[in-house]
Amino acid sequence: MPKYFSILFVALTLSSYSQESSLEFNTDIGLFNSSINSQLLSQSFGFLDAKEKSNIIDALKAENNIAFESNNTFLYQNKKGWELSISNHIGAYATYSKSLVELSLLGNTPFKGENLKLNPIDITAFNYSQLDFSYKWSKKIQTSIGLLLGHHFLDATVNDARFYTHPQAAFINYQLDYEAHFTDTTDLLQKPFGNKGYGAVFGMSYKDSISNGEIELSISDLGFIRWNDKTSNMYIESQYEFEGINIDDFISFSDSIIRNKIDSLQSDLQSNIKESYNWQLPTRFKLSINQPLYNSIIQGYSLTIEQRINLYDIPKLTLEVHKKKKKYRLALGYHIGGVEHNGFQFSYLYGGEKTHFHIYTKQFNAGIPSISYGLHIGIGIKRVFSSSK
Amino acid sequence: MKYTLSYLFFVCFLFSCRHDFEKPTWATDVSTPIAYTNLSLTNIVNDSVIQFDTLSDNSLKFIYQKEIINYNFDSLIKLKPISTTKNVKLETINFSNTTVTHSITLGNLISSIDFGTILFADGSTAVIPDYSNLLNETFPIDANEYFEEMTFSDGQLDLTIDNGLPTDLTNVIIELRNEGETNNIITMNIPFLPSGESEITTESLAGQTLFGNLEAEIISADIVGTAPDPVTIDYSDALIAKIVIRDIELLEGIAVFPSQEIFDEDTVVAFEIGDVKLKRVLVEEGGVEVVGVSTIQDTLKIEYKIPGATLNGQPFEFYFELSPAPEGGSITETKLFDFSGYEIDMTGKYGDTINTIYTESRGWIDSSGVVTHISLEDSVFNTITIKEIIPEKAWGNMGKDTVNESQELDFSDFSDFSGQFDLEHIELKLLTENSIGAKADVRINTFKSTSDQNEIVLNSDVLSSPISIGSATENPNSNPEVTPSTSMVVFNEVNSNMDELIENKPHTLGVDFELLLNPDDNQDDGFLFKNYGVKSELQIEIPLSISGSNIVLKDTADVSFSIDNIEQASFTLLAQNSYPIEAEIKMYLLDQSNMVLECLLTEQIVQASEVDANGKNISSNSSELTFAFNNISESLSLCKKIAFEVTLNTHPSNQFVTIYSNYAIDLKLIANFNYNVE
Repeated sequence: MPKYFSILFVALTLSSYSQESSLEFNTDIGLFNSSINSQLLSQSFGFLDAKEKSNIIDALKAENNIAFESNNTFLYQNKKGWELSISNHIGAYATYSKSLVELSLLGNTPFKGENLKLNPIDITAFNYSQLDFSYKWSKKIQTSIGLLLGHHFLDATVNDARFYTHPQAAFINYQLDYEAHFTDTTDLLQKPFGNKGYGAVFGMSYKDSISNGEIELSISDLGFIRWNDKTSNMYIESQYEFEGINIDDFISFSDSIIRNKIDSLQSDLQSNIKESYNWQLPTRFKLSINQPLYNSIIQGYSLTIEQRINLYDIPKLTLEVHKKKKKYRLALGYHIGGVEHNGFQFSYLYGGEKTHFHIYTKQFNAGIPSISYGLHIGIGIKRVFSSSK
Repeated sequence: MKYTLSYLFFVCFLFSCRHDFEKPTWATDVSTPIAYTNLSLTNIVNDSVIQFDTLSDNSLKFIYQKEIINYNFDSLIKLKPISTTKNVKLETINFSNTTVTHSITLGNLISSIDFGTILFADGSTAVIPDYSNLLNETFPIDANEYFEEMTFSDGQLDLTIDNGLPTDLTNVIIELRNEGETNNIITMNIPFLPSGESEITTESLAGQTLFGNLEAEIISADIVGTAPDPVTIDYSDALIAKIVIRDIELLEGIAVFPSQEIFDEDTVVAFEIGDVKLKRVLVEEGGVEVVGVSTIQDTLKIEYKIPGATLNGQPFEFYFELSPAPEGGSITETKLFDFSGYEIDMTGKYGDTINTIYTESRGWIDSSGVVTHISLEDSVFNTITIKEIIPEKAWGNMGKDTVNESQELDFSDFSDFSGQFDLEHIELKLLTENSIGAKADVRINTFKSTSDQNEIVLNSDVLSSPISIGSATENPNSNPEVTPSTSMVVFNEVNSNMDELIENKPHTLGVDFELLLNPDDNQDDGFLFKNYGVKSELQIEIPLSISGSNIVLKDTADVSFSIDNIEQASFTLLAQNSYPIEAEIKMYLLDQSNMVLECLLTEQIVQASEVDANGKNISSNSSELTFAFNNISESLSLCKKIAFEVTLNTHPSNQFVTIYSNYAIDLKLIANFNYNVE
């Protein structure tokens, strides 16, 4: 990390003679889930009785998400059109099925004779740092390239998971097909920014005017990280039918026999290969349309469609309206899709002569527990360097 | 701006008032199979005692077999250790004669005369004049080569004077004594000794002591002379004194031990083994132990041989040396020589006896040439022990022997149930197998069935006479090396009351019998091999055509559970039964001290299979039995045993049902429990 700061420092020194360059810091952190609201979550502590379990299950969709994001970025913009940024991205995204929760909360007894499909179950978690250089080729086109330093990583995808209990529980059957890759976690807390992989990233945006507005089309995070050869890689395709332990002497068994069997199965399901692994970043595609409105209350609106490969099952669609007043700009929006529950978002921007301040949240309805599905806060500070007179 | 900050403050306040975090827990209902098995009579019990056999119609026959007599080699023949000791003292040792000579030459005499060598030159011819007192001298006689000191209990000393001089001698007086002493051992007085003649005198050495350094003194010896005849002067002519010590019987001494044999003996070792008359044995374990004790200060050599004991054509023999004893002390050495694997002829040196081993032993000393102390008290004790012989094989007359024995056979597997049952047919066989080369008779005095309620004695005409079994046959160099002779006696419900004995549900079967080995005592060419003896086996065969009601079987199994986070639970037992027997099952959870923690009961039963008019299975029946726990956590954590109580009823009732080999019961145990996830 210190070497990136050194590069940034040199860039800032070089730019001190330029006009309308800027230095910007942005940070945001958020926790999202698509199905459980704050009210239900607050009722889900301590012992869960049948009604509370039922409430949780009823709230779930067939497919549910839970996610955590944290991004921190220093960005230097030069008036000549190039930019240099250093950032760190931490993310954890999980998708789970309703039937998995049902099985976990209720046990298998209520599902005797029923073939439970437990997938999708996906988990992607990462922590990496990024050094980006971007250049504005024209008013319309800007590209960026970057180097990535991978710190920690987990990616598990269950392609197929089925669970069946015989009507009399005479046997239990499961089918499991999953793939998982994860870095060594023994030093996760001691070295959260340890070096476990390298990668590269590319980005590009195109901006143009339509009518009185503007349209922007961008692709970012198009890249990969090659995690080192201590990365564990699991490719498991397993099918097992458990009908108890076959014992010659029926009355001479103990629970240790069953434990041994379970240990054996766990061992089979945890076999892994240590080798390097190429991970494709969740590439982001974004289409944004901004249109001014000549209204005394609302001065414009924007429509954004965003898709992140391997993270979003459905693209995230956001509609925002903007209000400008002197140096302030407010935006209120509503989003659907992505990994979050539908909800409002809000941003406030103060644009001073030298300093810009930006605060925003993607979970504007967090204060109302019944419709709150997460927490998010983002802050940005920008310092503009004017030319000397 | 102020509105925005207010909003942020509100959000923070809202979340700061959230509930204290309490870890969520919940209960899940889990059903899982635990264990399953297939039980059939043919695989549930199949060991050396209890077996099931399949008859021609595929019905099953229960076979119970247990050995009641097993006498083998070790119990019949014992060759106990036998020792022989040889004690040899030195008084029996022979010393060879010792001879010492001393010469006085003519040259010596002439040189003692003034101008003698001029007057009487060697090779010249001269007249020797008479001389008196010319031969008067004391000269040493060295016998240290043979002894330093010898005290005799008996012996002779010969002193011979040989006149080899060319002149006669007169008044010859010679004395012999130990050097420096005044007492003469022998004195010789010869008035006239002609030239070329010799004179001998003998003296007894009894009670005398001789030293290695002796001296002889010529008191007088006058030369007669040759005048007038001249004679040839030869300086080598001599007067020779010869001392011979012979017929030595030593009392004590310091001498060179002579080479000689200490003992050479043939010994016959006869074993006391009752009326067994052995001609040959093959030794599995055995050996010879030699303990030698010697006070002789020289190496004693011992050679031992058993000519009749051979291995690969070579007789058993060994040699060992007993080291010299320290001065004034003794030495003891023990050696063990193994003769395992040897075949021993037990008929003695001339093949005309039995139970006898003929041995040869010899002990001797090779003279080392070193002077050592010798005493009449010196002795050799040589103890030879033939250690206990464990024969692998024995040939001969095995003798007449009678063994009386009573045995209680555990039959408790079949007594741990209540209720009634009826057997259609039963057969008890007594199989006797004789692998000894001798005839045997087995007489059963009593055979009885003992239950908690009754004791029923077997009544049968078969028991009136002994069961006679012929001698086994030896198959030399073949496998098996013995072909046993067998005998079988059958008891059934026709010739005995055997069915009553079994239906009595005995916990023990008692048998009192007498085994007579070689009853005629006339088989001299018999044999007995290790691991081959007389065995008698009881076989009870019951074709499984039974009728029973409320037969209760009980058994207890040790178990170990470690159950946490479980509150409510039940066991489900799934049974697929093709036996025409229905079963009620109860389970009792017991603690370490057999106290009942919980009784698991169910109203369901394991249904019997459907049978046709002949009592044969048409289809199997499925049953589901549920056993609910009252307090699963406490019961299972303390549970160390599970007692099973199974009540069986044949179906249809009051009718014999036949059990076939393809009958089985599939059991599967399923646990249903409420598990607390934390």
